[in-house]
Amino acid sequence: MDRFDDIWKNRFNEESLEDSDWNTPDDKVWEGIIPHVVPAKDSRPFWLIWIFLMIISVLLILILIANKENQITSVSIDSYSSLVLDSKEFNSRTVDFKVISTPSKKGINQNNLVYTPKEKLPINVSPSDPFILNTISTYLKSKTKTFFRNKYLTDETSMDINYIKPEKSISLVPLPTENFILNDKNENKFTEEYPELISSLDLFLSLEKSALILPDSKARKVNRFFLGVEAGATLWNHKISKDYTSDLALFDFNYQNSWGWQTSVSLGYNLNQYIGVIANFQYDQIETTSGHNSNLKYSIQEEQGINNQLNGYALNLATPYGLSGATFNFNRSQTLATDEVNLVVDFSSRHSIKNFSLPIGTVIYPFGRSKSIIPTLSVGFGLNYLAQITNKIQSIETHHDHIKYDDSGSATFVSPVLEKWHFDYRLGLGLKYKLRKGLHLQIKYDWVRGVSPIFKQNIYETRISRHQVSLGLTRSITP
Amino acid sequence: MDKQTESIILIKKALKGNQQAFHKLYNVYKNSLFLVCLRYGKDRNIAQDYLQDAFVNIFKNLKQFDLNKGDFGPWARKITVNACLADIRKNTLYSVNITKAEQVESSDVSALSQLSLKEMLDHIQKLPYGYRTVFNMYVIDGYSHKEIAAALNISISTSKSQLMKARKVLQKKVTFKQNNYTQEHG
Repeated sequence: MDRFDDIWKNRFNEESLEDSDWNTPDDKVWEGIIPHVVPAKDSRPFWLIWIFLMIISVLLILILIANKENQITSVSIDSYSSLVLDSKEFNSRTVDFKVISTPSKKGINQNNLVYTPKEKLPINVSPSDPFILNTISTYLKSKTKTFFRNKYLTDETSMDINYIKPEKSISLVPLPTENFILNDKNENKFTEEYPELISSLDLFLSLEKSALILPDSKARKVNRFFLGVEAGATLWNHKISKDYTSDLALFDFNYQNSWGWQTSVSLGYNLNQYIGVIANFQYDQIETTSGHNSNLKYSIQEEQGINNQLNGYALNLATPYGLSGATFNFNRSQTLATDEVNLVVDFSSRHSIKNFSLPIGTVIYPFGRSKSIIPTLSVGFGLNYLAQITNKIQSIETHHDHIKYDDSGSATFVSPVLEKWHFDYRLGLGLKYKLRKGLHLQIKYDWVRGVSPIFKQNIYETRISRHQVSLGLTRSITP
Repeated sequence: MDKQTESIILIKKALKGNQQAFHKLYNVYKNSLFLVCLRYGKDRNIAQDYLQDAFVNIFKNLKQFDLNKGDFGPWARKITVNACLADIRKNTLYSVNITKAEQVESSDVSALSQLSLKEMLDHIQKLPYGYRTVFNMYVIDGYSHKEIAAALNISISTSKSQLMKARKVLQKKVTFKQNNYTQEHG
């Protein structure tokens, strides 16, 4: 057949083609193209750039904060003290600190700051931890310690305590400690026997914008890493391009957004009291259905045999993941009045989806991490791998009494043009409830928006937006 | 200025948003691409719909065309074929009843050589859509049976059988026309 084929091929591939009426399209063709010629602004690059800039900005801020927190200025040791706080609001806490200063600043009378503990105990907290600072201020304000309140504390000073300025002259650092319970019974004892401690505290509280620095990071026993596990429900919202849905409207194309479930494990690192970074490994599994209507012809001439009254078909089924080729049989049960029957057929397909995600981002604690209930905000982006879409013919309704779908064969079919790797950005809101030290119960909602499609074929595409609700546990860990 | 150079200049202008460049580009390629559409569509109206879809896709994807590498003509033609196939696929009336392939006898091709392009096109357009699509893809556009099977979601054997049938029908038509011509002109 080579010669036969060559003639056809050569004639239709000739470069020179004489213009005639039959091979010149009407002017209306161009008129139909004009609306598409004006280059539409593609919003995707803008969004990608926006997300990229946002992530870079957040990371820069985090790096700056982290560096600032770890900055150490030159200091000299003048004295050291310790204080054990006991309040109804918090468990008993031992605050171990010493007041240090650069010799030249603010004319501090260093003689008043000398205090020597009777015995040394292990370090167990960091006074630079805002939780402890809050504890100090809250305790001192809430207790009937008029001595402290009247002499040293106002709302402004409590704010000063939380204000961290490393370049200032005074620093508070952890030290070995001795236990001292500050309560109503021993208030006099405290003030009488520990005048140096009061002086130190006086100095500390009276210095505006005092600096709180940890000179030795090894001395800090703060668990900044945390692990989390969570599981919950997820809604996959298929964002199918208008071109695709409008083109398939003729066939009553329909689809459903369906709930599924998701689970994830996470590893995070809290940079400070307010911001952390987090990475998740997430698995989603959902099921959805789609359907459309097609006209098919059953022909007795095309049956597979005298005793095998089947017609086999290969047909593209419309799905949210593109037109996917399926094969199936129709079975004739009785003699027909005519050799051919035109059928109006309703197809319904079920799609099972398995997807892995690797989201990374930042978690923000707007009110810090020291409360029992911790609100959280999160922002990040995710790399997704579409592990599997299994398509299965769920039902075929022929609307004919004697010609029915024969479901004895394989009902699965393949989506041919999937984008295995796809990307998203995500925003989250959550609440953490402290069960015990280092262990939190977390409830969270995430909104996930796909920035790249999971199916793309010419101008047709489908992206996924997700709504996720999850419940989980997070635990602080020490690497 | 040759067609390729002219195309590159027009594409560059079009990418900058010059609407006249789009129109000129359309005028340069409309007839050759319309011929592709005429082969895949059964009549002129359908072919014009294909052509419109094809140019919309070409213009939407113009940024993806590598000016340094490829010839614009084949690239545009490939998009045009894809636009035709997309429309054929979208029209889910397209279904291929699976039947056994038939053997086709070889024949004298001299009659075929005497046909005009328009006459050849008429023969293709009168083929059933399944035959027409596979014949166009395999014989004229150079797709393999494997590629055709993937593009149309049919089996390779179905693609082969459709091609066989298409050839057989075309041979009959050409031979019939030749016989008529011989009888009429002595």
